[in-house]
Amino acid sequence: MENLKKQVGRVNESLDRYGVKFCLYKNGKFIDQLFPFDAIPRIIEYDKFKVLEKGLKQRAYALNLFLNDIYSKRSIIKDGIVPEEFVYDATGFLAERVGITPSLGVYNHISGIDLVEAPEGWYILEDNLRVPSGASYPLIARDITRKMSPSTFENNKVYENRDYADILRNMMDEVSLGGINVVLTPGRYNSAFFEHSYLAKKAGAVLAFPEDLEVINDVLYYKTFNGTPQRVGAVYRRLSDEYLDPMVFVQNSVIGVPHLMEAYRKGNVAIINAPGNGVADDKGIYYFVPRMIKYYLGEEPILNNAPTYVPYYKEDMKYIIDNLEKLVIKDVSEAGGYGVLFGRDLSKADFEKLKDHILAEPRRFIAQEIINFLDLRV
Amino acid sequence: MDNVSLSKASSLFWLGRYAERAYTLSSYIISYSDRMVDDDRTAYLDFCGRLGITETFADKYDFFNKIISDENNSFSISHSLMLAYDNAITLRDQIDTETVAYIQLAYNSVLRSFNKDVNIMDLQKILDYVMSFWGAADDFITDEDVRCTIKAGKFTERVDLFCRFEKGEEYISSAKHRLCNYIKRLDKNHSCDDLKVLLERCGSDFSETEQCILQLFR
Repeated sequence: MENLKKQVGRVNESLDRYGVKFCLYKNGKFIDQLFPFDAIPRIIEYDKFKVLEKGLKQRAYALNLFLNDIYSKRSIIKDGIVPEEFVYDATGFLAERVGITPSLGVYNHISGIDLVEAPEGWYILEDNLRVPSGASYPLIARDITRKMSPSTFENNKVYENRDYADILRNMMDEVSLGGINVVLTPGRYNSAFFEHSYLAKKAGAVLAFPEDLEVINDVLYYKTFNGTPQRVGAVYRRLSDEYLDPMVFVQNSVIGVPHLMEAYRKGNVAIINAPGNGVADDKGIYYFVPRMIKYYLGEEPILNNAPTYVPYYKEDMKYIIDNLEKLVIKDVSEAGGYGVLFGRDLSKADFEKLKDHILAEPRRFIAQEIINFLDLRV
Repeated sequence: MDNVSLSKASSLFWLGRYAERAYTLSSYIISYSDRMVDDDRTAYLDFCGRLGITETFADKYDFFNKIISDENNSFSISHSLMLAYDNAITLRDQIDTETVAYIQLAYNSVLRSFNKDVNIMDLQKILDYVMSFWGAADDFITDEDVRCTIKAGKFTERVDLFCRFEKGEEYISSAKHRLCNYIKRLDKNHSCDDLKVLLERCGSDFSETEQCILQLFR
């Protein structure tokens, strides 16, 4: 580890060399900035990691079954496990995809599930099932760190993560409906463009821009320089549902592919992740995931949600109103850290305003206990 | 080019052009700088005239500053490298991360070396990185048509700059010959059949020939 400490600066120089960036828009300005990386590892012991792995797989699997159910039989609603308004009012619910079964029944091919560790154990903070981002950074960081400090890896048993690209490629091949695999990027000025291009290269897929793709007779093609269109079997799209197809969603989207949803509906192309997954990572639905695990899998959840209250239920509403100052309140219609309020930080007027808001629109909020994050042993 | 779209072919071509522009102009700036050490203090005016730069400079130092590091000036080395970089990062799946890295390094170098004072010899780093980029392109790019497209851009730029700076018949002919070979390989629809004739008669005005080549990548 002493050797690795000495190499920290060089690891970041190397990330600079390879243009490992995550871009931001600040005050209307595009800022191309290096991805900050701390080479000193935060250690999760093998036994704990295996529990996390098992728990995350369990959760991802249950969420996939939920999506399949919601867009077909809806038995979880009929059986009263999840109230229907939580499903149909969710911004991520896509009526346009009801009745479409994706290739091999897979919806959340890639799940980004946020975890935190508290003194009493691990908690799931949220699920990201739409367009989870970030896999490329640990991949390239591991590659570079191994080169800079081989002894760290010789002297410690470090779990391998570099097979991610192979797993991604195999998954795309599995769900493909015949043709090449493409990573669809909205463009060079997307915040995660490095990731799009890096994963395409590593997974042996073609990096496609929206103008490179077209749908002909309900089949998706990649337009080539030599004039022969290549059929596309799987699209790993890195843009949100609403921009995916201007014929179905936001009409003035210039980053979508017209008629893509029709090709998808006809079973001619796999879309990764499936459109409409937003219903399952909605903050309101989060509350019900442990119930989903029991309902679909007949198992107890291995990983716990952060203690959460839903004002939709009377007893939860009472608790929230009585304890607002020690809770964090989240607006379910917001994402990316927006719409998160700590009761203790609000002025008296804002505190009362929030209380009234929760009472008036109980479906719109969830409340969680504030978790004391545990720093990992360094 | 089975897995290369028209937009990517265009990016490959322009990547080649901008990388070559940064390289050749850097080497010319070094040689003009040497001329300006002695009596020929306004040699930069000749440099500007050949590139059609109408902007006026206070003196040779102002010229060096702007021609090298002023990203907002379309004729600067910095601007060429920025555009080479913009194209390169969209092509990672075609040209490999290692190849992209050399353009990244050249661009980083111009941003960091020239943000205060101009030291002409810092241009040597840019020459080294761009030359390494060409080596990486030969080494890491497996698709021959992809390589040809970048080289078509490179030699289009080279012929243009060599003509403008009257590099000498031997060099210009060699560049034209190589450009012809690359274009011939890519021109499946024969839209540039007259290229050789155009190149032979172009003299120092390359614009008509350039239009014919650009047609391929539109």
